[in-house]
Amino acid sequence: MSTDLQTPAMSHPATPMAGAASDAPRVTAWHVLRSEWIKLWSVRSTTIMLLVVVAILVGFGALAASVSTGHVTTGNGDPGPGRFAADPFSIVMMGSTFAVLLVGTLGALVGAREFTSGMIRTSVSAVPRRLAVLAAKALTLTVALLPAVVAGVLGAFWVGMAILSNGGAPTVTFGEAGWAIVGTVGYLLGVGLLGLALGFLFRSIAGSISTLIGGLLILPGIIGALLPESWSEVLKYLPSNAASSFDSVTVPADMLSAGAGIAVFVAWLVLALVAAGYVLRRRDV
Amino acid sequence: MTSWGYARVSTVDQDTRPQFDALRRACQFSRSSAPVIVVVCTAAGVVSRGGAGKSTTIRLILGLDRPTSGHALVNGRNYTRSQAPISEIGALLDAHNADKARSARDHLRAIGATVGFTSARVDEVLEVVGLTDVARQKAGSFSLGMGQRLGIAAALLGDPKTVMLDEPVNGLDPDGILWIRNLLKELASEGRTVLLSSHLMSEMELTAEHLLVIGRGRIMADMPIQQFIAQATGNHVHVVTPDGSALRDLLAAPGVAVESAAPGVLDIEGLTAREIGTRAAAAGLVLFELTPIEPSLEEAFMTMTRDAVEFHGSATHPHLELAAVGAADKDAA
Repeated sequence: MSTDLQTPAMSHPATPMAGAASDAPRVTAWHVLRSEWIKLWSVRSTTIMLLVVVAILVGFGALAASVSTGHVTTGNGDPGPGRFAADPFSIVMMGSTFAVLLVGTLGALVGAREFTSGMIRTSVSAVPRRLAVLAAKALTLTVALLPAVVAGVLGAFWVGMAILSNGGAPTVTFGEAGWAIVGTVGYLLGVGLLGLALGFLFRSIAGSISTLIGGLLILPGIIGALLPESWSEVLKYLPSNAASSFDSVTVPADMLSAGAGIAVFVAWLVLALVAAGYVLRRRDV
Repeated sequence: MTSWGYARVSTVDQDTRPQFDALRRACQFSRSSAPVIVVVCTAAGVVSRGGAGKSTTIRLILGLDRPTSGHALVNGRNYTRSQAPISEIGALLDAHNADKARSARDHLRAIGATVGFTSARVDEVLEVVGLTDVARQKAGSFSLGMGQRLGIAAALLGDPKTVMLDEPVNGLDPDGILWIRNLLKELASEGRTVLLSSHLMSEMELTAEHLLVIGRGRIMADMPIQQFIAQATGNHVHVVTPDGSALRDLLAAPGVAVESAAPGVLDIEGLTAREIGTRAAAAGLVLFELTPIEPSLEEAFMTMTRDAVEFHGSATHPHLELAAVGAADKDAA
């Protein structure tokens, strides 16, 4: 065989060495995860977006808390206190809407850019079991998002609460907000995966991001405004509304219970990922 | 040992089947004892829908497209079930299929990681394709030729037994073309099967030894290139003589065409150089030059397709679609 192309790692089958079997090139779950991990971090936008997620969560939380206590006044001179919802947790989590946008965009990018660049053909040639590629992407994205989202949410909570407390505004303790913090982290991770699934479904960065933003942030408002009152029951089941049952301390009126909200949100997530997997398996790439 | 199965893709393209036959045929060469380089051609316009189907063939084998029925088998099994796919087949598809934002080295690291390769192997392949100096540049900043080298690096990364290259010469400068010609011959001499397509007939003529032409649902030619070229045209001999008109009269016969571009310069078709020389000597005519002219592969191919193929519409330009370089398979030998 080749002298140029041969490596020690690929010892010729005719001359097997003791224990060399494990060195033979082979696709394993761990190898696919490692490949996706390399892909994720070798694109600069990943690091940038994760840093921005932290900055936005903490920054907007601090800003909203400051406005709320009157430390900062808005351009048209609105007074601070009471400007936002009375719920201190939702004040300090003001940045989470923006974080949803960013995290969802990152997920959509991770999914769709494989298709827009044609990289998916390389990926699927190397790992023909396509679902393994999707699963590895989902797992590595979650692992990458987790520290950023946790840092952002905790940072926003502590910084925001400190500002509120300094300004004499009502606060909630870490103990009281514990489940809401976990819920917010879970919601943001879920949105990342939703973006990833949409990226695989639509195979277009613009299409998946606009669908995600539309479905999470815009659709609930539009449907609420357009549909008759009797349909409001349906609104609860939209992913973002289902999430509001478990990502806040004071759950808005007529939302699902936390348990039902989690179930509905997870159902959306599973639906999106299963659809993405189905389409990935069935469609030519 | 490489062997190919058969896939039917009636809804994708009815005419894809002969290409599988051709691939299977090409791989029979790979099992023969003598190294042989095989070219497979289809003529543009023969396959009416969705292009000639060479890319589809490669995509079917890689599992990127799904056949409507049947299977594409490599080594008796589906490529997609291979334990180490990139070590089974290395493929360069028509587009580069790399993320523009990722560096060349990271691109290859990600591919190699799927079978547990380390960066050392990546650096080795980067060296082979001559991209070491730009390994940390983003793939998006690469020229067409550099992108092509990156794609070839990805194809070679797994040290595969079979290499399929779709238009590998695209975008390469003359240096690069020479480089790839040597690389292909080296790969074949190492016992690999190399399938490649190129629209550059002259390039194929330099690289290949055996030709397979497919079209309209069958294999239209399956023979050594020299034989194909000789068959495709009648004998063509270039003659320079002071007795032009005498020689013309001497040779005049049905089936013999004599053209004269200048006084004393004749281009004769239908007789061999030996026959012309013998008859001229018998008649006492002086010949300054007596040169058999071999047509190029492209000319031979044009003649062949013109004679044998009913083309649709006006698409009559012959087009080399798929070439296969097979070599002695040492495992089989």
